[in-house]
Amino acid sequence: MSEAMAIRSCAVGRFLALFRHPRGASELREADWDDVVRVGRGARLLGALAARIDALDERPAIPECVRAHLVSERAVARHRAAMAAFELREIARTLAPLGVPLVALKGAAYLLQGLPHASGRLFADVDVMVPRAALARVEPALLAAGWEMPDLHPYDLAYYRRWAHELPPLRSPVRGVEIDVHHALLPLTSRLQPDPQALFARALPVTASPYRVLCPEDQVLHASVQLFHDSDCTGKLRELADIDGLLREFARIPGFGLRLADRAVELGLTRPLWYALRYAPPLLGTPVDPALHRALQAAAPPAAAREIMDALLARALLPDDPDCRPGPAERIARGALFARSHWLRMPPALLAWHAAHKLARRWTAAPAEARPAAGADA
Amino acid sequence: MRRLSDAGVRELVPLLRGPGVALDFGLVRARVRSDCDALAEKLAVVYGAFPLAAADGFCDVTASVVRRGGLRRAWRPQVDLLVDGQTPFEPFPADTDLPLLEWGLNFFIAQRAQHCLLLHAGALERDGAAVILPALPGSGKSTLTAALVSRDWRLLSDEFAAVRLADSRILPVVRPIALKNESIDILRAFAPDAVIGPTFPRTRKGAVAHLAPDAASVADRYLAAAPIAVVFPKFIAGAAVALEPLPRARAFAKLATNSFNYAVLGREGFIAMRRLIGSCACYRLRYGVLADAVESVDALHASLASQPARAVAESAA
Repeated sequence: MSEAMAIRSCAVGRFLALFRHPRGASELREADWDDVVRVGRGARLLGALAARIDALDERPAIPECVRAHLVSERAVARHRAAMAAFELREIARTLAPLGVPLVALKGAAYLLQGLPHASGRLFADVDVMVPRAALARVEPALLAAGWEMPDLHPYDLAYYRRWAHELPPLRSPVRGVEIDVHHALLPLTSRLQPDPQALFARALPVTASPYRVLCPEDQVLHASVQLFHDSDCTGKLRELADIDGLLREFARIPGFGLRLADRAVELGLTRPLWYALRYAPPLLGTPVDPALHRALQAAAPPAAAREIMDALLARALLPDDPDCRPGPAERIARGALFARSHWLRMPPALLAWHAAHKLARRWTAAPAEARPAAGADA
Repeated sequence: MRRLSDAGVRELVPLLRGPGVALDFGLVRARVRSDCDALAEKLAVVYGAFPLAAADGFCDVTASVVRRGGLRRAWRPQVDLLVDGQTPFEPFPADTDLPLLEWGLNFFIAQRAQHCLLLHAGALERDGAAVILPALPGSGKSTLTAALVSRDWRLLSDEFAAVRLADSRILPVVRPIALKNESIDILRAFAPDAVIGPTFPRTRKGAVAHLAPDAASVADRYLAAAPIAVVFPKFIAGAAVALEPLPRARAFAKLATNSFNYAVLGREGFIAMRRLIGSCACYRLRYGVLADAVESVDALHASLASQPARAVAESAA
């Protein structure tokens, strides 16, 4: 099924096959749908799958019980998108007097541009970017307008202030939507440092919106960097689906492939893009301009590293089989990818310092992040 | 057709350990698996009237009640609820396996059935006409629902009144009714023949026991019902029974804020709610004695059901 990655779970394979070829929907038996719906929901891609099926010219025959889930997920996605759009309007209204350039990132940008893969996409939080020099005015303005910062451990707060590429997450207590205000794409300590000024310089206006969005090349690069450089990749197929959606859409722009390659070189982001192009086409059927593939050959990691990444990602990036809990191999792979993401995020001395802090806290503090108690209230 | 009550533990245990038992509530079909063999016996009681089937084909929720390993198992055994490979809740003591399963199923039904307007309410039907009993704190909704079921009302739901968006009819979600604390004995006294599962004395909500849905309600679980009344019950110790009309606008607002997903559905939710309220007479019911409340709902139903539909729509405007 995939040269780059072995897919161990039949259920996951079935979901991916349908995501690539939504027309296959009419051939699935109910038992197949059981796999597809469970995997899709676990990967938070069921709404996106539903949107792909709904976009077909000919509606495939789908059992009524299954259609209910697709309708249900799209309703949730629509609601989240409406909440995000409202939040974006509020942010723009609050910051308008400051005259600061505002760039919408990720889901917010896909929504504002009306990209096809934004429909059915399950919004998590709202990401915007402002110039770093403007933060000193932006943050007080947002706090004064009612957004609140969570009570963070002093170390975490200091971490955000010194090294992060964003403010601590802000949240309106009424609406509960989390907003991330970025001033760069990656932490200031990261191995890769795409220049924010270069991103702002090429950002494009959006019709009838106070926001701008990154240029198409930078949107792909941002999504790739976020997944393959600044994350542990675990359970993040959905982020690969974002890259897939962007590449499908921007493939219409003449010469996009080579422009993307050039921009990746210019910003120093060829390696994460190389990974995106390695995994998105076999898993999600992403069309890629052969010229882009050729242009990125030089960015390929050494063969051994490639094989290790293939093996690790097969156990982390793909959704879990809905009937199996992750085993020891999965846990090791995920641990390794977690370590990798931190290795890439900060220089060794800082990493040691950071790890020491986090470990010390884990030993001294009570277990955080309690899950809700069942029946605590309906 | 064989039912869960016909199957012995010997038949249920391998199903629970293997493909799972299919529990079909009408709107939702769940696949239940478990390695707690003690759960089989409890399921055979509270789901006794449900058809016995292996969980093949499509299920809306797959829930597994799984014993936790580790040393703790020896002195304080616990169970986890796994839903589609995820563990959404803190573990429970092993002897409260059924309440964990029931809460978990409710949680996931509320999360997933966004293709209906889900009211947090009991719903019952008689002669084709349904009454909705919204659950506000202290309403005694479950007790009253259980009492009405014991007086030959058809159980549509105790937790979710699932309103179909196309026509605002109520789709059944026939599930055991969770009775809490004093309600358990009150219902036993009111309906001595009711089939009630074991009492779990120490859950997070106090003592809990589950009333088994009756065979007729289970048999009709695919049959939608047209709502004719919304009655907001309120239990007040020692109060005399009183049924007062409630302005429709108030009822609308109360129902909307008490819904699981009114906001999620946006315009569709509004339209479904407006149609629902438009077809219903709305009341507030205060009661101190369960039998009085039952009688009051019976009488209201009889008077509304005898009127032509349009008169019903106008009577409480």
